[in-house]
Amino acid sequence: MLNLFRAEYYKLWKNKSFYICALIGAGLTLLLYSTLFLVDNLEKAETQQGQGGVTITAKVQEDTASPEGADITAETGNPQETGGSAETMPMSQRIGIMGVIEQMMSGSFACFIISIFVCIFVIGEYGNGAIKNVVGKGHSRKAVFLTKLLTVELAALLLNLMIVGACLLFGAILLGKDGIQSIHWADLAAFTGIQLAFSAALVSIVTWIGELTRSLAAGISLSLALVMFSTSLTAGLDLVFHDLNWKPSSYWLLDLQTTPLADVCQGDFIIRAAVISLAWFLAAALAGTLHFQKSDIK
Amino acid sequence: MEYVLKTTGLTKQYGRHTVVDHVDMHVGKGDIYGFIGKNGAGKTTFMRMVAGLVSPAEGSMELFGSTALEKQRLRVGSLIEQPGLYGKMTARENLEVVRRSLGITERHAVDDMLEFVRLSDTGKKKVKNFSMGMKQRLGIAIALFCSPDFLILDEPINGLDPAGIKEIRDLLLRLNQERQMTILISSHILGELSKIATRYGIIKDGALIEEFDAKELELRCQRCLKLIVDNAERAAAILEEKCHITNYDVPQDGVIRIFDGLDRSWAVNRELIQQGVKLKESYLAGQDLEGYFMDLLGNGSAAPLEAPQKNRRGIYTFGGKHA
Repeated sequence: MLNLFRAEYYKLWKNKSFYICALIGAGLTLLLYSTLFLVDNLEKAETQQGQGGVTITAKVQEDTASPEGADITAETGNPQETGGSAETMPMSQRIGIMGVIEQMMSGSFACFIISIFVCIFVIGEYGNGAIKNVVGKGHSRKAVFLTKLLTVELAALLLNLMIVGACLLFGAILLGKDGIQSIHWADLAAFTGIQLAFSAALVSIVTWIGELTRSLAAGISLSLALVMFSTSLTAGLDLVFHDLNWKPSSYWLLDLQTTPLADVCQGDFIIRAAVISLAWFLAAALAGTLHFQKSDIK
Repeated sequence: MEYVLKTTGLTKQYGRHTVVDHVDMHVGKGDIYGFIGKNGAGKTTFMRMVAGLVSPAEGSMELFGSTALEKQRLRVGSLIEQPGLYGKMTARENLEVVRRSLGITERHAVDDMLEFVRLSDTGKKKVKNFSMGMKQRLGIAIALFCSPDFLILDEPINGLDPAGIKEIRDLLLRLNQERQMTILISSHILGELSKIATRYGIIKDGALIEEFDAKELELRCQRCLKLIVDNAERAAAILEEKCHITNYDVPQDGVIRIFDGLDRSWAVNRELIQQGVKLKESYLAGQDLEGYFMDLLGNGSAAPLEAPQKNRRGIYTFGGKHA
């Protein structure tokens, strides 16, 4: 199995899709920051043009009953400059680096990129027939499948870390010192760890889908449909089982993945997330191994 | 005899359709086994079962006399249908993947193999830009990695030009003679196959209908005078005594095949008739290898080279001569 892993590892480093997916992840991060700055500029422009509203302050003296005695001032401009609240801070600062990381990891961005890469890497072997070279040499089917799974897990881990790294790097460049100082490192570590666990389970499921379909188009379509629509399905199931007081969505990793950062760092959530991720990981790995052991290779 | 591959009742079904039907194949050590059959006869499925890509529905097989197949498959190299190659990698990188997966520590093994299949000058050229022959050679190189004792090749010369075909043929002969490698090879180019095969197996509709060696095939295809007589024993005695012919055989009752003196067939026929033997048929038989295989597979010209014709008087003739 170690020899197989060496070969898979070599293939991973020689695989252009891996680098392209990493670049797309970094590109999306940059795009997200750009969008935030664009919104900032739009808000600023609106405020300067008065479209953001006019702040009216009225100081009415108690001893003056008539409206004429009131000291009324009106001002426009940047709320920060006029001592505005946190809600009226620029979007980029309100979201911050943590917010961008949350958006990239618990939104669908990272899942999309990783799912596509896993499909290309796993299904490509069937497309070019190279899987025959390995199986025909007497390696056990179980070892072949598990090695492949291990390799894509490694790739997904690297892609996730690259995305977090890109968020931090671009955040530091674009938001400066304030952006870095706003990061709660302990929360970031806990959040990233949990997202990696979710990602590992998702990769296991996508690998199984790839093994099952063995067609690039079908594999990518199914995997993306899973990422995009499975939460809608579980929401529907929640309604169906509402009377039984049972929420299927609380057992589905992609629903848990969208949990806000503030809730993620709770102790009981971490344990539940780890258990559910492990369960999905093992279930998909087992299903994939069993299917690969029995299926014919054409 | 020591068998490298021995299958017993090997069967594969897809749904209700039986693709390989109770095949008992025997590939001896050092054989170049030509596996022949029409498209869809079950050759590739059978080879896939041997290579471990497809699991049989029934039956068993032994590789190198052992039923521990996974272990024995380390001694097997296979190239089934298209070679499994990474198009975006170079030939060297493709072989590097195989080297690592087999745990071969010598890095020069890749260079040696590239040299062996004459692909060492391909440099950084991606495999997707290779010609068919180059891809096929690279596929063979992958199959040959780890010096297998048994090589399974499914249509390895398909799509190759004559020079490429000759190159592969020479390579296989070299492997068989220098490394004593046993080879199971299927091909539709029967003429080519007959140049290298030492043993043949014919598969039809999933069933192995015949197995024979090259000498036997030569004998079966040999040009001869075939006589259908009422009493083969008496006819044989006349041939020896009167015609001084000893190179003949009696493959079945009432049939005599004479391999010598074919230009004097009229004299043989006259002598037999004069001696009172009832000569029912007399004609020159014998085929080229392709024709013989086609006959076996059931869609060839079953007629011999010169089929006997009855003239107006009911006398069998061939080539315009009286029988």
